[in-house]
Amino acid sequence: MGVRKHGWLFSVQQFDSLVFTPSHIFFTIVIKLLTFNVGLYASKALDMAYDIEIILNRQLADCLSIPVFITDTNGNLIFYNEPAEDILGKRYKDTGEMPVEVWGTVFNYKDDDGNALATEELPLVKTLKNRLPYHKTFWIQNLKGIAERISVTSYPIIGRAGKFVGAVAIFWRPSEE
Amino acid sequence: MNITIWGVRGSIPTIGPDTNEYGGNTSCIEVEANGWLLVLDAGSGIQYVNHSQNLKRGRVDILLTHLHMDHIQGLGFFRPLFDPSMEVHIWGPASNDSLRYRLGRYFSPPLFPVHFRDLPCKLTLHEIDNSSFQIGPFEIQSRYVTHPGPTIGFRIKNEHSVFAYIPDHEPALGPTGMPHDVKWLSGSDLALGADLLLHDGQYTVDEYKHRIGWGHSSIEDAVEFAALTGVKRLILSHHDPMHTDKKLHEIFNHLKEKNTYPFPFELAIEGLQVKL
Repeated sequence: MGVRKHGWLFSVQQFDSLVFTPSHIFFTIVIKLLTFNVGLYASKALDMAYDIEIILNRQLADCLSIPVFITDTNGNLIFYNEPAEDILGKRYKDTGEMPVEVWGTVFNYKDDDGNALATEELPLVKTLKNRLPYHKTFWIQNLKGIAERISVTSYPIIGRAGKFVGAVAIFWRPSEE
Repeated sequence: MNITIWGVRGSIPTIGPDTNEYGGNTSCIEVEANGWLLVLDAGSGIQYVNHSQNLKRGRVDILLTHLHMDHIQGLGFFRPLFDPSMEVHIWGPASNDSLRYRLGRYFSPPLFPVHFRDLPCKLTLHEIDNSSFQIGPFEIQSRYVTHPGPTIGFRIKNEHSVFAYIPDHEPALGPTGMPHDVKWLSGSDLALGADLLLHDGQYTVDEYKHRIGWGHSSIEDAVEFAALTGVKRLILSHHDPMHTDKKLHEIFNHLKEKNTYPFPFELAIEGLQVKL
């Protein structure tokens, strides 16, 4: 069996007929590690890119004048468009992707009576949990400390194969509804 | 892995004196290793696979990237389908309707005189999406790529090499063109580091400006895609039916003058054989 990586060709069979010396054992371990890494490299390559449904949602978001946030299935923020940058107070090209622990605490959420909203009541959180669309109007306070009444529509990204690959949250100012 | 290109043309067969050199048949590639035969897409080029000596195992696997006409129009004329001793497997992208139903629309009057159910071969259909499967010595991965309708590309690996096949693909679709972050680049996981990539290169840059969203690439975008994914060799295919041999020469010479990349690239020619 030959394993090729970065132009090197390693033959595993050529070691089979050798006597077990310490150097043989050492090189066998090296070869096993290399073949293991090649296997990992190959399998990771196929998981490297986002699913096409995520990519196409980003392309759509890039064309829109309304704020759009895209998350993976764990809620990590993997993309937000230019209008969303105004709400978030950050630029995507500066932050890149943001873990859920970071971006999930950016906003304060309140209802119309000024009561704090539980995270579980937020549309995007419900979408990630139940894989269903949700809509809600509430108050947020962004990074700049500005409170704003806003409506959020969220929907799950479920691909052709029925695979749940992420979620989208669209922010609307109620006057735009 | 022995690869033979039998169909290079997109959209419609264009066989004639103006396309003699590059060829006028629609998409079809033969891949052979250890007596196992894969046929990638069933455009009009599939008729030449019939004369191949590679059917010795009594089994052939046809892998369809999608069901647009230029990728299935030769299927009804593929002789193994009419041979009771042959085992034929057809692999195609999953969708809401079954693969049998969708292919059955072609295999039925008035489009075709023979019903799917009447084909005498031992036929098995496989619906795939973002899948991994094994056929003989081939480890195959399929992934959905950017093209209208359910469309997949393939990454085919054997003991020695990797061949990536994405004949209909528009990775530059979107307001900002080709994403340079491969995580956001459709098809990048299929092509990454492949020994050979056969990729859509239907349009010139100017033509592409008027055909955004049609599901195909400019030649320049295809070469950039190959560079971003680190392939070792690129063959550009799915030639536009309006591109004569003379025009293809002009396009390719212009491309070579404008671009230098650390890997060889060329236009697909019918009959071209590549050993990986």
